[in-house]
Amino acid sequence: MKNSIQYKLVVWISIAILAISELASGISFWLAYNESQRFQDDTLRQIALLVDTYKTPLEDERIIESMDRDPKRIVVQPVTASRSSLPPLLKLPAKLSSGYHTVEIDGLYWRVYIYVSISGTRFAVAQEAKIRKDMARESALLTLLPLLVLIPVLILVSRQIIKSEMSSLRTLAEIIDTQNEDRLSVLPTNKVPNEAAPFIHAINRLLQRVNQMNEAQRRFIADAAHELRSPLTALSLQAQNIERTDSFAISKERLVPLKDGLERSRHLLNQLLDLVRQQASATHLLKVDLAAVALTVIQEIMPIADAKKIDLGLAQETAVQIDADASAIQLMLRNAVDNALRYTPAGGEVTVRIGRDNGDAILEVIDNGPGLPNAELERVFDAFYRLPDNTQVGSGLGLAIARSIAVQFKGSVSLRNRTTGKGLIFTYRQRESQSN
Amino acid sequence: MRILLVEDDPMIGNALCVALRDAAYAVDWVQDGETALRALDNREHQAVLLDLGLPRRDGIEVLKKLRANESALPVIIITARDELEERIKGLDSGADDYLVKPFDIDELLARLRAALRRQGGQAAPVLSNGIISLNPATREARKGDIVCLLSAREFSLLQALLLRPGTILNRAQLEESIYGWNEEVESNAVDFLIHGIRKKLGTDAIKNVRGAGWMVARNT
Repeated sequence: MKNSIQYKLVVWISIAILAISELASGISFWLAYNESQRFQDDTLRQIALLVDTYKTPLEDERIIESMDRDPKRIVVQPVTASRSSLPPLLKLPAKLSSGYHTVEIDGLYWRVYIYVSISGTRFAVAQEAKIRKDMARESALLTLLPLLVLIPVLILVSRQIIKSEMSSLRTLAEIIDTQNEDRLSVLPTNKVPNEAAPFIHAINRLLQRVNQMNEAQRRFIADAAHELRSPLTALSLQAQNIERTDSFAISKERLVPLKDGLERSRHLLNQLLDLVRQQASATHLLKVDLAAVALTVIQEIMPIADAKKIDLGLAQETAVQIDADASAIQLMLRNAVDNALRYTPAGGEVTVRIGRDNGDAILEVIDNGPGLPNAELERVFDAFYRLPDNTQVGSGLGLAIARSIAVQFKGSVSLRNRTTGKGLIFTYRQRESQSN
Repeated sequence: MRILLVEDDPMIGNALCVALRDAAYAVDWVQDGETALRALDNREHQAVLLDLGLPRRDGIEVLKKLRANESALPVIIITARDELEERIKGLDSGADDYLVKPFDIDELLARLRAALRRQGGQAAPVLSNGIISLNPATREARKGDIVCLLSAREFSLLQALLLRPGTILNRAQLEESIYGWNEEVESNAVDFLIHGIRKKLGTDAIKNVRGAGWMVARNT
């Protein structure tokens, strides 16, 4: 409740309305009260003029006493009435100048207007001050009535407006709550108050990113399932082929592809595990000597190169170190060399090159195989992507693993065709380690 | 019975070829959609086993093209794509059946037999002309009281004849139903197989039409 915008708005708007209306009604009361008193003063003056015009009552110096004993009565009496037999109704102080006065007479306050006629006669028109004040207050209070009605209406209306504006946010929250995690749809922005729009746009951008990630993950899982099915299909067929034959010789013959099938499954599972491990592992960086990594991989892979009669060699131009994890860099290089050997024809040449360029360490695998169409150079890094005419049995994960490793060490991997002669160059580039 | 196998995975392709040949089918194996379409132009196959994820041309495209050419050839899709939409799309594109990898070879063979049977307008699993009956599932032939088991190639030959009773098939047609592309055809294989079948079922089982070929009698 304390953090509710709706609550705060209602409270503060109510306070503001009350404060302002307080002030407004104060001013309005004061103005109306004064106006009313001025009006009453004016009435006294008007009466004085009337009395002066029709002189009669004052000629016999009688007091005009209006309306009996009415509390609102207005009294008219001569001021110079000392010679009169009758006592004056109001004992007015002797020296009153012409104009308005408020005087105390016998404990009561009177508002007195002293009038001097052209003939020089002075007389007073008076009314009891308390009555006048009461009357003025009453009429001033009446002016407050519309305000009093308005305040609760204003509070209610503002509350209602805020509530309805906030309800669009609540609707959005409901939309988010009821979303299917698999396919998050963006939130509608047309019914949202402008103030909330940047927030909603940010949420929508986040939702889109989550969607893309979900989509990539879904595709990867679908691809992985597909790729796992293929060797499994081959294995089950190969096993059944052996089961069906009675001949020992044929059984033995059919065992060969079964072994290949097992090797393929094993390779695929290893690659999948490598990829997952690369994506999940939080490595701490150590200095890695690229030459040492290259030597390890070349030694390891030499038998395969020999078997394919491919000349596998190292070209080290300079000693270079990077901050990375040696086993990850080995894995990347092994995958790159493996690919090179796979696509280079017998009698070909594969070279691991270590160099330096502009502060970057460079690790390259150069082959003289057929190379790749330029349009495919980037796509082959996608997991399970296979070239249209590729008949090689591979996991389709080698380059995806290499890229994942590169990302981990803030390096980059790329493929390019050789400009001189045929062949492909795999390049890993990473900031060289700061020597100390 | 000659089958076109369209499968890009070399391991699965090889294993399927072995299995299908074991089951007495002549198999031609191609690895991409383009070659598959060219092979189908020759109209020498009785059924197609079609993978979907193919290089050059997707399996569905091959299937649609085949059906657009008004071919009623039985097509069984064999694929690792198991989503419901894919299966519906496959069948709606004209496939007769849809099998998800990995599958059991016996199931594939049974579905293949069923597809071929429906193709011949037969509901019964046993092929017959009223005189000779042949069970494709067991390769068992029956004529009157005689019941015998045929070899894979004997079965292929008799099946070719029984599928079109009353029609004369020449040597080349019979050879085509027994051998795949890259299998070497032995010069007198047809005579040898017919001799074997006659020995098991009696001489009148297959009729020789001099200068034309061979036939089995039509159901009367």
